[in-house]
Amino acid sequence: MPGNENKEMDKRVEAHELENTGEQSLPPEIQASIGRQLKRAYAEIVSEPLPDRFSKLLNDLARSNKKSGDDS
Amino acid sequence: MITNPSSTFQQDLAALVPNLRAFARSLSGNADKADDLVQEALVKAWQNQSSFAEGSNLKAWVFTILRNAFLSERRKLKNEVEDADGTYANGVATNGNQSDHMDMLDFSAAFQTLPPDQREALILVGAEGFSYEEAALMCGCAVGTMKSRVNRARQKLATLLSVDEVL
Repeated sequence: MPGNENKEMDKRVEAHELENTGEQSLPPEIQASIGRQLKRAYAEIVSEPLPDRFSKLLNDLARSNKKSGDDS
Repeated sequence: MITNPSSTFQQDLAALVPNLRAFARSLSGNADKADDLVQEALVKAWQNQSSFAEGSNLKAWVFTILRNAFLSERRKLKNEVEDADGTYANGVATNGNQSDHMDMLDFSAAFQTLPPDQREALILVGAEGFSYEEAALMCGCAVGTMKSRVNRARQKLATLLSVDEVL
């Protein structure tokens, strides 16, 4: 799979670049495990039910635009 | 049919709200403050919509607005709070030296022990999928700095979560 090869290449390049800054990079499996946990934790917040205040705010903003100088 | 450009802008902003909330939460660590930040970012984005370059990345643009709102809020607080021992400036809890292995620590708790610049870097690159170049641009730092922040964040999480034992 060429896509995976590219990713592997990216990882090697990344590891090499970090070597140049004197930093170590993690083994790919550990990095992948952290990535999965990060995405899971983040997705949990993203999928939380939204409070009404944001759609209300956007509607208010849109309405105030129309009131003040509707040039359409 | 008349198409109203601001109504699609409104829809595009609305679609970003869940991600803005998650990003704000990871910056501030406090759900209420995070939602206030999202509100502020939405208002600013709306007011500055004429300066948004059509066709460029709206998510990156609004994330940057939110980030700037967070930083200016933090600067204000820093000036108000007497920060004698520097704990505030060092982030919520930089207790990395307490223990190499905190087995009971869940991911979110471990994440919150990271310094703010590393949390931000890891979210932008690792969770939101921005490229290092985009993330560096959004944070006004060099690409190498961004890579290094992401790497240090991963290193610390690996230690805190003892990922090697989970595998």
